[in-house]
Amino acid sequence: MKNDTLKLGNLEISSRLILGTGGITNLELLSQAIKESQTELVTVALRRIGNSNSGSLIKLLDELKVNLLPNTAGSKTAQEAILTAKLARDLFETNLIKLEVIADDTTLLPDPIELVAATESLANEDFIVLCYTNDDPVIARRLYSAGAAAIMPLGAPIGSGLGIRNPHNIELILNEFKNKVPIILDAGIGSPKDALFAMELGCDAVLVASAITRAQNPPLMARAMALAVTAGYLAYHSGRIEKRFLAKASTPLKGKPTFN
Amino acid sequence: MEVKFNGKALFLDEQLCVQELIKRVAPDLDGKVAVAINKEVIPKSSWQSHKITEGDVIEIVTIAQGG
Repeated sequence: MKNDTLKLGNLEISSRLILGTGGITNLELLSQAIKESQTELVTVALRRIGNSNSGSLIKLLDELKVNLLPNTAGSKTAQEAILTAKLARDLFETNLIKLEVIADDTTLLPDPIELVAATESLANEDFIVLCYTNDDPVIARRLYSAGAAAIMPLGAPIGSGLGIRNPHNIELILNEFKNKVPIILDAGIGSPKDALFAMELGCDAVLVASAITRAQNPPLMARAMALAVTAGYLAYHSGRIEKRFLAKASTPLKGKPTFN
Repeated sequence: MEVKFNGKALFLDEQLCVQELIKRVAPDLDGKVAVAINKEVIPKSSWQSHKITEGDVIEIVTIAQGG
């Protein structure tokens, strides 16, 4: 493997598991999950003051020394997402932004029209734009042209745990952009096999939130997910065998004794 | 003067700069906030010089958990 690290703008990290911090109320469990995941990058959101445990969260993330990837979660227009990204840049002093522009509150599916517009605007203002998008190769092309620094296709709707519903589309995106920008599977992962599958397909990383934070034992699931991501990454670079219709013996027949 | 702060009306008895408003509404966050006024981000570097004015629509946000 020529390059064992993942580069996102100026950030270079070894772990290919990005952890979402939403969906868990117990910060001690979140802390353990972050440690067990061995992640170096966690997502955070922006919300009005007084609405969450912000003080404790700031302290926790400072202590763990993980890099922060702010998101624009909840934005429904390019304008809203752009303003949120600018607030995030001022607060976190990073140009990294996980750009989310959703169409509605029921499916939480990305609105590709608004997403492309926001990507172009933010990329022009020197943001490192990681685009949460549909598993549509054509939209991926639009995002790349608009200046996306990473493409983050969904496997399935956020929080659904349905896995990768259309692996062929993920492969089409990988086929076109694999060596141009990082492809990070985002949303829909339900269990470690989904994360492993994404990495075996050739994704550069996966982002997991609910599958870890809403598991019955988040730290244990975080560890399982980290192992799966590593396994999938190594497997992708190992070159798997061709599938065969019929069996092929692994034990040679030469030298086999005869008893009749 | 009256402003709209995080979606609600807020009455201020004197003119404040952004820095002073943050101290008043978020004393426990040690400045770990970001501010938009009338849909424009007020960067940290301008918190002392930027004065709040009548009718401003102010959003002050901070870190929260999110995926």
